[in-house]
Amino acid sequence: MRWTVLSSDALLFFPAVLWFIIVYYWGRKRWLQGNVAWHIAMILLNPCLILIDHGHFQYNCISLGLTVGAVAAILSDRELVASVLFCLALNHKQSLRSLFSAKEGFVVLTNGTKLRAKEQFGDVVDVKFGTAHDPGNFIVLMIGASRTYTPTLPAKMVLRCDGGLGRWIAAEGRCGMWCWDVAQVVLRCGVGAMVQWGSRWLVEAVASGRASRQWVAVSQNSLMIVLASSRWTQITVDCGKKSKSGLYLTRNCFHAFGGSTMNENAKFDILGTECGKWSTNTKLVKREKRTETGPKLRWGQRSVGPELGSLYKLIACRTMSAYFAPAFFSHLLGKCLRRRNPLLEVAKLGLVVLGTFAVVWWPYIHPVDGFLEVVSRLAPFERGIYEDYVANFWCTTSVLIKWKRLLTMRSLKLLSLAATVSTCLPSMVQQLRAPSKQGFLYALLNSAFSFYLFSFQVHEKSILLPLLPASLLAFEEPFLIQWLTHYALFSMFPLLCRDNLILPYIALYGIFILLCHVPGGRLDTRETHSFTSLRSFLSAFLLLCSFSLHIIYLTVRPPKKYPYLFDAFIMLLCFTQFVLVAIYANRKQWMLSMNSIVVDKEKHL
Amino acid sequence: MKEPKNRSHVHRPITELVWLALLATCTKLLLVPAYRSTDFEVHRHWLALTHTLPLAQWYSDETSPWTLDYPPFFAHFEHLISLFAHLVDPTIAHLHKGLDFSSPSFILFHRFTVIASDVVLYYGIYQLTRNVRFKRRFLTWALVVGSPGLVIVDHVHFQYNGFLLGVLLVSLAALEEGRDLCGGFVFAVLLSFKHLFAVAAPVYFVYLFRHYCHGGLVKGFGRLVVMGTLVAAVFVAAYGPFLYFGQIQVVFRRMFPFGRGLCHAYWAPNFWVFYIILDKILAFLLAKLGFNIQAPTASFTGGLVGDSSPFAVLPRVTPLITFTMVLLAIFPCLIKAWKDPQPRMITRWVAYAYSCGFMFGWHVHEKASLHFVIPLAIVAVHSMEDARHYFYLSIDHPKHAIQPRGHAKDVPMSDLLEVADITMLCLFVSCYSLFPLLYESQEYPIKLLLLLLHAILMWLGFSSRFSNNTAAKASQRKGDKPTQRGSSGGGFVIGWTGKSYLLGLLVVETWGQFLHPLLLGSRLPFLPLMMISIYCAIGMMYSWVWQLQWIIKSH
Repeated sequence: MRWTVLSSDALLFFPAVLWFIIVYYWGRKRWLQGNVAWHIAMILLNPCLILIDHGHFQYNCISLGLTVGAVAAILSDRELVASVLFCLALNHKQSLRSLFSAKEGFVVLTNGTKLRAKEQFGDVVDVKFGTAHDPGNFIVLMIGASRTYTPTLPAKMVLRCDGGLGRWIAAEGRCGMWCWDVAQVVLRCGVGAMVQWGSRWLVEAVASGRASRQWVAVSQNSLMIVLASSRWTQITVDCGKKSKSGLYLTRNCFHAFGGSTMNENAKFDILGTECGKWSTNTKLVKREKRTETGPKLRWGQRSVGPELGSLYKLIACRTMSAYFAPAFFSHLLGKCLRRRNPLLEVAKLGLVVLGTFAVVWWPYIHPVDGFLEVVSRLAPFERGIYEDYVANFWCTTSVLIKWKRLLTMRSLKLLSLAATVSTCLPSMVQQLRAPSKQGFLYALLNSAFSFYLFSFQVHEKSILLPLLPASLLAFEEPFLIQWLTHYALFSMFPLLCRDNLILPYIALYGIFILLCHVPGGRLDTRETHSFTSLRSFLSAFLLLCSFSLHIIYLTVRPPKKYPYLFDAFIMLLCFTQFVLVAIYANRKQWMLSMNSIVVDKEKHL
Repeated sequence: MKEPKNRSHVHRPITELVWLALLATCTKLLLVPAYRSTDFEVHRHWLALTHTLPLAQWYSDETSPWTLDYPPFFAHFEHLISLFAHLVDPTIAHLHKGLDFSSPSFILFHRFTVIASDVVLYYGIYQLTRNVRFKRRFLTWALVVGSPGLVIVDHVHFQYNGFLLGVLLVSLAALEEGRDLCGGFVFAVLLSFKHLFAVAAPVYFVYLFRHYCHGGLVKGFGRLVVMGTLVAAVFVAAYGPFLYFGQIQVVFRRMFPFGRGLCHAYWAPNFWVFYIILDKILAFLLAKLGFNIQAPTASFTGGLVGDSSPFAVLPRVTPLITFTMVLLAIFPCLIKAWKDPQPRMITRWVAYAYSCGFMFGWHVHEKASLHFVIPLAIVAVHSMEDARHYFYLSIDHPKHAIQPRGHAKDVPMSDLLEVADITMLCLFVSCYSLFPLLYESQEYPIKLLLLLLHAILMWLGFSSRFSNNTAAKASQRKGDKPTQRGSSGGGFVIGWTGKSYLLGLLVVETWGQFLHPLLLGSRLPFLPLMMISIYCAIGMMYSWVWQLQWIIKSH
């Protein structure tokens, strides 16, 4: 599965960036072209994207690659291509899903609905369950189970299957490298729970006298749990007596004793200590019972019957690229309005957009309920305005004002919508009034920022979206990109910490900073150090703050009363920086429009 | 790694080197989760050994099969590390409890020691190149610091070669600058770190004898005594304590385990590969012809001396034969050094000596190719400088073109081009021959990427040097792209032999990686490795013969 990310990176993101760079530097002065390599490195070697895509495991590079392609198309005056690419970027996650769930008769089961209390399972988990013809059989395909730190997680994948056989196909997970092996399980009228993020499986089974490898049979009314495993997991099964209801973890269970590398929360630690043994230890079972049964029961109620055979359900995924939509929209509109025949141009663009959408959405429009499902998933409003500690406006202010308690969901939605629109309005207006290529890049940055800061339900990784235009602007704003990368990384630090990615975090950040300061690297010295002493003092102070927070986060245990104290600090610091950068970028964009004519002329040189 | 733009005058060499070193360090940090070889346990055991036991028992201990077989200074080095290891986790440095110990903190610590000890490498290379021009300096650094062989062996497989090579470079730098005493001293220290470096000792001896101990009988003898005392002092410091404890025989038995076979488990691509293959073929043919050929009972890799021969037809090879062959191979270079001991040539001679040791030595490990690849890279860039000079003169002053600096005066231009050609080939082959060291599939993209990046870097570096030569004036202009190729006849092109060889390499790799498992499945599992070994041996042989030619021709 890692290869899929890598190849999508190489096939989409790299060419898109190359195209952008070619367009961007086309016709510039010759000595500026020496910066090409540097600029490419700045965009491609951005630590945030690498860590999230290849460390945390996601497919952001696809949508970002398509977006970059769209930007490049706009810079080279190909509006139609740009709009097609951008529509694709908007829809990329849907198309990916459709690839995975294309087979007729499979059910793609969401991880979500009831158990999203704390966290969703991650954007890249597909669960295929049951076929139309053979309802009892099910195939579970798990791809890269991420976000595995929530204590209730093992319960999330519990499946119920009445009177059928089941096969589990476990694909690799986040700590594993490239390989993925298969574990197969037969379930008869059982409930299975499976969470894995290891890559290698060794399943030993002892069930009704049969012992086999990678083939586990569980008798009636049974329950199995495969817990978090690391790379060399030994899973031992003991299927002795039947349990009464099948919903309690008695003896009919697996214990997976994961290697110690990936044990992140307390529960896993208990198991992790007993590495390599198999256990009927009642004490252990009790513990599990306490922690596991609650959520499992809830899942159990969500019975998945044969009637679901024809229903498509999609994994919740937000269209992240929508963050850029206002900028694209206003720039294209502004440009069209300047043409001779504005109405025709707009109509052309509109047709292209609608056509692309129709093509992409065709498989989902087919069954109507599936379509509705998708639509409801795309706007995951029911999740609440914020979760965790994301450095956006709602989260940060929630320290003081409890938004969730004060206002109803509906008014919160309206409020966030109003805030988002009003903050990205200035840059939209600027683009409508004077669409310029430079301004467009700034507008991208601004609209992404306003979405990140004020929109509903933002995730930490969404900071990648403001970061992208910033890295495209790296040549103009070398300081901005460094500053933003630093805090973007920092805002994701708790997330990456839970993924055990601290070492790559340090290394990639180091490489990035070093590349920023190539000796004799950037030829352009327009942005020389014109800092006043106050500014340099402030920036040094802020850097010191963030570095010390890194260390504190890693070493000091937060007080019991406020377990997320340091998360909150990090959030606060990052939020202030993001706001500052956003204000700066807005101001810069408007400054551009003041002398936009001059800039445009410079462009054409 | 990105090619730097040429604004050399602004930056001091030390800042650049620090930058590059930090970049390399960060890249190495990314390699920390790579696979864990047995060498971790070897070095951990040595660390525990030196930490726990008194000096007298270091070489007689047999707690683990991984007994200490490096010279005493390396043992002291391990002892030094063990002091820190003890702080990290006392179990690491415990002789018995620590056996096969592995924990994330320990692996991290061990990797860090290698990364930190690379400082010596950076220092050595700084010493060697601090007085040369920016581009050449940077190319040298990039070639050495980013050498995929070094990264694979040190930072994925785990060894301390970077540190040892750093010491060698310091010694070479001292010699090149004419500080012979210092150079000899550092080399003696190096020998007390790792005795495998002793292959170049004859070269050092002859060179120092002729270059340092000259100036009349009395003065020369005086200098000889000074040098001799210094070197002897180093060896006394290293081996004296063991002599005192009566352990010296044990030490030497450990350091020179001739009981091991002619070749390592995976055949290092050297001369003996041909010998073995020839033996196999002959045995096969003779058996077909009806001769009664007894199948050898001993294996090449583990055969004990004095027991039956591992060869069916050809005479057996003993350590003495290999030793003589190495000496014979070095001989031309010794004569050169005797006749005309020039400081400029010493790096080349040493590189050649190590490649002789690699080609003909007893029980050579493929990792030993690093010993000559790294100096050779430096030599290549050196000669590029000469080539540049040659070009520069011949373009600007066509009439005086016959008077370039240094040894380049009589060497035809094509030879200087060949230097880059051969060096690239040699680096490529030696790195490729290290591939089987990392057999896990997860490291495959890493090693491939390292090799390709390095090849691209070399290509850009060398070709830009030539483009600068041919278009000397154009290169003066600020902001000229370093990758621009010159159009006139001096362009850097790999010859057709090199090209076809590299193509063959691709074929071998494709066969081993994809076609073999596909077509033959699990049958003949040794075939891909053998193919790599033989094919690389051809390349190595070619480069060795060329080096020999080069040494003989040079003045």
